[in-house]
Amino acid sequence: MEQWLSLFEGFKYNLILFFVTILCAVPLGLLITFCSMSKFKPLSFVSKVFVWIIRGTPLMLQLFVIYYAPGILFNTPMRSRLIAAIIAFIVNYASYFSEIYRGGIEGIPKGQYEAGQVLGLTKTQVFTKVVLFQVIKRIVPPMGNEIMTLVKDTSLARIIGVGEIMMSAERFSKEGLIWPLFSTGLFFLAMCGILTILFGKLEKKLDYYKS
Amino acid sequence: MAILEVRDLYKSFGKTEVLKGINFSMEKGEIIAVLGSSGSGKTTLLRCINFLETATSGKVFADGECILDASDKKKIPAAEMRRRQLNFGLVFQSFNLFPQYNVLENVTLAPKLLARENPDFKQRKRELFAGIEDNARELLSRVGLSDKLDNYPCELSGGQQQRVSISRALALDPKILFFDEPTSALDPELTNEILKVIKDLAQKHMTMVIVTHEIEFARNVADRIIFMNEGKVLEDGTPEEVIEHPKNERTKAFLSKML
Amino acid sequence: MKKFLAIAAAAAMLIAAAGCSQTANETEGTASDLAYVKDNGMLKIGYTVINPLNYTDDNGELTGFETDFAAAVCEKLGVEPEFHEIDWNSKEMELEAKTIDCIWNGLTIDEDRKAAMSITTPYLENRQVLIMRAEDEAKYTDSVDGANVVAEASSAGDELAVSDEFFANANYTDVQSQATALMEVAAGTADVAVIDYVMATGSVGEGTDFDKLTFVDKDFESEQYGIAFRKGSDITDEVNSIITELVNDGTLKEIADKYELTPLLIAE
Repeated sequence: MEQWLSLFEGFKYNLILFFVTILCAVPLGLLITFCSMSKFKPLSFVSKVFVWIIRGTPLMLQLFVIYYAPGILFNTPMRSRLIAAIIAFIVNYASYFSEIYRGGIEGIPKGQYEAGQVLGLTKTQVFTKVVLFQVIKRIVPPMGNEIMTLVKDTSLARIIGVGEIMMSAERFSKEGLIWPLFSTGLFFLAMCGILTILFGKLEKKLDYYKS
Repeated sequence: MAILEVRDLYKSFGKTEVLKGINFSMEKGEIIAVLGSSGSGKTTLLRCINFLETATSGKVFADGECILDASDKKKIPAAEMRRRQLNFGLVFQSFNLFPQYNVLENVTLAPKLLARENPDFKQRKRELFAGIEDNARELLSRVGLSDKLDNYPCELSGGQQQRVSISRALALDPKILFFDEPTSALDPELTNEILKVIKDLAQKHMTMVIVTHEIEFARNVADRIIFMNEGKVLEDGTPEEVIEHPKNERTKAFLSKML
Repeated sequence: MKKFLAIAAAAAMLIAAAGCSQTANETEGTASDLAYVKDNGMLKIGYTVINPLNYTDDNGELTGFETDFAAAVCEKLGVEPEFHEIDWNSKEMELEAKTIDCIWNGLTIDEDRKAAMSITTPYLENRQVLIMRAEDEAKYTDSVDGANVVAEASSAGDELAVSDEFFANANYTDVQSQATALMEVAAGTADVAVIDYVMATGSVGEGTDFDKLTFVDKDFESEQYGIAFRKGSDITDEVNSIITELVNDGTLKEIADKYELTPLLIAE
């Protein structure tokens, strides 16, 4: 019982990481998409390089950099492990999301924009009334994948000492109790199960038309 | 006064010159069919007039008003661009219906968004929207789609989709309706239902410019035929003049291949 | 060409950042670490959970030999102890980034660590022991030739397994933690784990999930535990003299008695 409580206590951190990351990375990703699709070359260049760096380096390294670099480089150590982890996750996932969005937006046929234009819609109306919904339908499956990965990735936060569920479980295995470590799987399975159902419902809801 | 006048229209894509000085004008109620082999520039001409491509040089007048002057590099405000755009309606080869909206919504979307610009929109919203929907139903019933109002584009045949797209263009009450090869994406047996719709419109004296491969249809429905080749207008005359007595060798070669 | 330039620029930035970190290290030693900690009013102590050094008791309170020891030292230093559970593999980085001020968790003193960090005088003795399945005791006690041996990466056990003659003909693999090493043996994916005596007493035998395991003390050369501070830190000397005080007034022995570690105590 004590072990279960401790696992729940640890999983709280995984959940905080998960929800805060989703909440912030979903809109931030869109911002990055707009930047990298911008006609203003320097802006799109900078954001493409940014996405390249973030997607091209391990999340583990990014956690290290965000948490340790301020102390090592500028002598101002990070105060909170959790906040450092949250920042790393948001930045990392926003970059991945931005690429999914970009794929979704670029996959919309040119004819949709042209039809909107000849019907006298403003650029904003073309995006919000015509394109956006189709983009959402396109990105739901890859987003579901990515979000499922996020659930499990939250356990990486342990390397900078965020006391998430895996770290809680390892405390017991050091004391000769293995089962809590394997039981962590149940938490991740439950979370992913709920998400699978939710995304399945969403996909079904969006399935009333085919493009 | 001519309802449409195109003057010295040029268009290049990089180094390739696609339109090499197009001139023609048309009167209200007139129906022009544009013929020509693929690569002759007829679709580009349509797209330039409808602002989907930026002409390299030349002018376009609608109802006497200059709506396109390629030499004028001043940026035109978006609202003004839209006002000019709405002189025309365009029916695409690939329909380009909005897949997430049902048939009725496809037709009413643009008019409803436009209605918001009415100064008294808030007070009259219900009345305005009711009018728009009645009009859309009327247009759709004219093309025989009254029983498909709630269907989504993916549930319709190609011919039905193209009829929706014609209604969608008509809902904005354009001065001229342009067709960009409206039957090319359709199976032959569905072609006739579109041609019938266009004939109906012709009887109602809709001003139309139709880019097409259907020479028989052009002969039947058009008042005038323009034959284009390599970015130039080679023939411009009545169907009889152009189809029965073409002046140009190229026209003859094209017609003999098609007929 | 443009793209190449961009990549070159990015690479240059990375190198520059790495360079910065080095200069920062060098200047760091000049400022007083002791003043820094006293200004903060707290000593940030990096630890991992090891019974009986640092662990949570039945009331959910962090306790253990190291915990009590650290609290006693902090009291004399006039600062509050703040315990940070860390990932052992990141301990040097934690110290460097000042996210912790010391590693106080049964840290074995060795030459590499002495070169990289400032370590106190030893206070506790420890040696590495072999963990194996009970039925293998006869097989591997005298020789581990051909056996699959595991130890925690960059631990004293790791060091021993790589350098000692005894392991010369074993298949050695380093793993994530001492706990993983134990699990490898329990799961049969490894035959022998090399871990701390202190840890072995706390986690092997009856009443644990590892009750099929046993440990063999080969009397390997013993190691000594010390507390690690940042390289060049002036806290080390201060803490050394406090340790002497705690030995003299009997406090340290009292703490060791509480956790049954008195035989291992070596602080003078």
